[in-house]
Amino acid sequence: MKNIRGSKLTLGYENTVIIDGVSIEFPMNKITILIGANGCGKSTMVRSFARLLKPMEGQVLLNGRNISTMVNKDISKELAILPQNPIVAGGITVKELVEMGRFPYQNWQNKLKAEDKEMVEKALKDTNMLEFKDRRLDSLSGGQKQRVWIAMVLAQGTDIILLDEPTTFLDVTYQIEILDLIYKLNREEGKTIVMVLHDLNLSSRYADHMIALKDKRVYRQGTPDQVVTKDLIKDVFGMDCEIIKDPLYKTPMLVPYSQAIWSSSPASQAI
Amino acid sequence: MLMNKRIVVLGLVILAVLSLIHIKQGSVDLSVRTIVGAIFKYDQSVEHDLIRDLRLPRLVIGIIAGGSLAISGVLFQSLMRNPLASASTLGVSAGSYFSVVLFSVFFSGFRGIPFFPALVGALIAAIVVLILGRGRGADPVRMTLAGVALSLVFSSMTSALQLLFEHESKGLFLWGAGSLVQNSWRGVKFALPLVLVCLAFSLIISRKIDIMQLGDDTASSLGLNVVLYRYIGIGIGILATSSVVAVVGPIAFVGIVAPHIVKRLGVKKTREILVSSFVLGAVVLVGADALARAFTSGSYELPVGAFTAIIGGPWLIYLAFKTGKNMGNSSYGLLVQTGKKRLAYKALVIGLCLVILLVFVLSLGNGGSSFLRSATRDFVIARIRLPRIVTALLAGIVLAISGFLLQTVLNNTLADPSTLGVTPGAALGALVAIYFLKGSTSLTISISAFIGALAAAAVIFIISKRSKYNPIMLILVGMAVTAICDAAVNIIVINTTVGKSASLVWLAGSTYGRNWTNVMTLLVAILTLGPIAWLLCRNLDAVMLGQDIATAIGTNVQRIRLLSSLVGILLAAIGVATVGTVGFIGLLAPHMARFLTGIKHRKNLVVTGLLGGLLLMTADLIGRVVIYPSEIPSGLVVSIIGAPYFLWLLYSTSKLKR
Repeated sequence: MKNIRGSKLTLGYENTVIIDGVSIEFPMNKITILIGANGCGKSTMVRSFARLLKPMEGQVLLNGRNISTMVNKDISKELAILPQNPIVAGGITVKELVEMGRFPYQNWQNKLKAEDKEMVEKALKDTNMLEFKDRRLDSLSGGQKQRVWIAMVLAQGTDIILLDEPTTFLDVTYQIEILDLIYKLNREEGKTIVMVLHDLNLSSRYADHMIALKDKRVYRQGTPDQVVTKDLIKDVFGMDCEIIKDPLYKTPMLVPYSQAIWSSSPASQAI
Repeated sequence: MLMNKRIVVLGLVILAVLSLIHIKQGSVDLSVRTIVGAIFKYDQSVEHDLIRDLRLPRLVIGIIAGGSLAISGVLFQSLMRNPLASASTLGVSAGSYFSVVLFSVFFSGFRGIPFFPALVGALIAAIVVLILGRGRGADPVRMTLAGVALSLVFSSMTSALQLLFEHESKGLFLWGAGSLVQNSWRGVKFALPLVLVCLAFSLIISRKIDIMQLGDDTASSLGLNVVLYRYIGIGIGILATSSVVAVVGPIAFVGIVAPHIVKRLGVKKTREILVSSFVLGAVVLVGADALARAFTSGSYELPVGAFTAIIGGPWLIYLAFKTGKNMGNSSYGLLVQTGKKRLAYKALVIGLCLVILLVFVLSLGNGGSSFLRSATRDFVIARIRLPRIVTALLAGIVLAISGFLLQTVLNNTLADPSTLGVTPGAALGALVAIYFLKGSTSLTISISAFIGALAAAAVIFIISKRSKYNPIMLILVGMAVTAICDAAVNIIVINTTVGKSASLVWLAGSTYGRNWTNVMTLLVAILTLGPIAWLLCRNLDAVMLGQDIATAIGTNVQRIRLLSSLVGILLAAIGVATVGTVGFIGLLAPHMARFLTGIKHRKNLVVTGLLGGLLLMTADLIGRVVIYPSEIPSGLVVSIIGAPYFLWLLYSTSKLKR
């Protein structure tokens, strides 16, 4: 029985508590997206689930086992994470980087076995990066680079993939491209995806499950329709808005009010 | 405002008290009355002459020099927006010093004050460091690193000169360590007008500097010619530094310590910072000189430059410690440059081995003289040349691998035993054995050097632990430890007469007279630590991707870092203990290897080792043959070959972006 959940997690850095005593479970084989205002602890949460940050209290349970007592390599075979804005030495090639995803499966000899090579090949193919495999990473565009990182994460062959703002710094074209790729991985291979995303409209379009964080706790969770509502946006982001249906996919879509433009502000509507 | 005035007044009071103590110090006891008398009612007595011609000039030059270094520190720090900038950290002092030594070697009859050589050296160093450190947005750390590296280049060239022209440069050693000793008013008369001009000009532009603290863009949009004032300010700083260096030699840390204390006291306006730093700089330097003299008696003289380093080094460590708390570990990977085209690995290894073999055979055959009888020839080759050549080869390998490991672990392509302070630690250890252990053999010297290296490394790692081995912290602490060790080495060399040349040779790094014991030590080190390093390389591939990703794909980053640094430090200590302070190999070989083979650590490791061995063996050969029957220590040959390459490397990496 595969699952990942946090039990009474308190997270933070030094003396600052960012998440306070939260118990949470991510649904398997679904896309879960964490939302919330800047600094609400979305990244912190994802990082702690990926054991990049040790909880102050509580524990992260992977398939029922406390992650902090597990061998690091074993975790790497179950769960992969793509941190925010990863950067690496310029000289590395696409293939070399994706092969690093097979690291947990290799022994001291560091030789790639047939299975490893297959996985690398498949990851490159899934991300449409096969033709770039001998290119140097620094010669690629932002969207291509991000696809290479995702390929590396895929090569790890895990069922759970955590992504921390995978679309930041990307043009809108690349954002859609990356999210489509992630969606495909989820639908075709049943990967459990947990990610942090800033764009609420895209979040509601791609998410099966959404979790809104506020005041160090989970404010609300559920389907996009349950979470992305007028009152929640007001409470979590402190902003007035209308929610309409996305004309293409019928998912909730946010239309914010501007304070300065009078004609459509809530005040003028009231009159 | 009121508080700032109080700081200045308090500083002046302390300075007055220190001055009185300072004048009283020396081999002849003087009463306060005599001192006051000498200043106001000169009666041509011996005591009055002593005060007027020796002690007062020394005090006054101390005040001028301290103040001047402090204002140059303020200028560098605010104009380069780099809290760590100062004449000594940017390599400006070292450049100036090198230039003066060069000048005195070729114009040994010159008896004046070598101001122009000092100025030229300082200017060149400043220009180089500005170009190298520019990168993107003049990153302070990048610039400081370039400065440290530049200092290394200059100081190795300086020691080459000192060794090659021992006679011409012998008077410079005390000066080179920074000394306030004056025997007339000449130095003061020379420096005072210059320093006053610098102070005046810096006060004039201080308002502009305030505006520039808002950032270049804001300052420009406020109508300030940012570039012009930046260069004027830096120019004043260079002038202030070189006029002081020309008279009293390079004195480290006053330029960092004084402005920092002033800023910590809450002074904000540049004009006030300048004035209070001037006073405080004088306090620090006169105080250091008074302290240095309090520890000595009679003609025995401790160089004040060494003493400011011993005070300033810990200050820098403290500073690093305080700021280190707020510096998280950089989650980024190592930034390296690799060649556009990679060579085939196997061909490269075979090729390198062939070249090594070639140099090896050449080394055996060439020693500057040919032998008539084959028995002598065989003896020389088997007992003298062979062990030394093998030592050079192995030590080169050891040092190169050590640098390679430390660079990867510390995420810093400029890390190496010599920039981290491990080598200076070993040097101090060796000198302690040479001078203080009766009948020290090469074995005890090596052991002592080994202990010195480990101690230095331990200090550096324990202190930087707090910031989780943040690369910046490590370099800072390394700098401080280096300064302290260098100061101690200077003090030992200056205050003892026996074996000065021998220790200079050791300090320069020598493969001269190495025997089979050295070979065995190095061989054991390579055979035990080499395979461990090779195994670690697999994980280092992962660590290079940055802490987060390395953890995510299953590496225990902390453990790998700790193990690799342990291996790196052990190798460094062993290497340095056998061949002295050979710098640059640990910097050059890994870079070349990455350039040739790309980013896989196992390939890098092998090629790094081969390149390192080849470098040192070639240096050994060149050093023996070029000026036969004399010898250039191989460490210096490496520096002379390595320095230009290294500067180019710094330049080319300064253009890399994150």
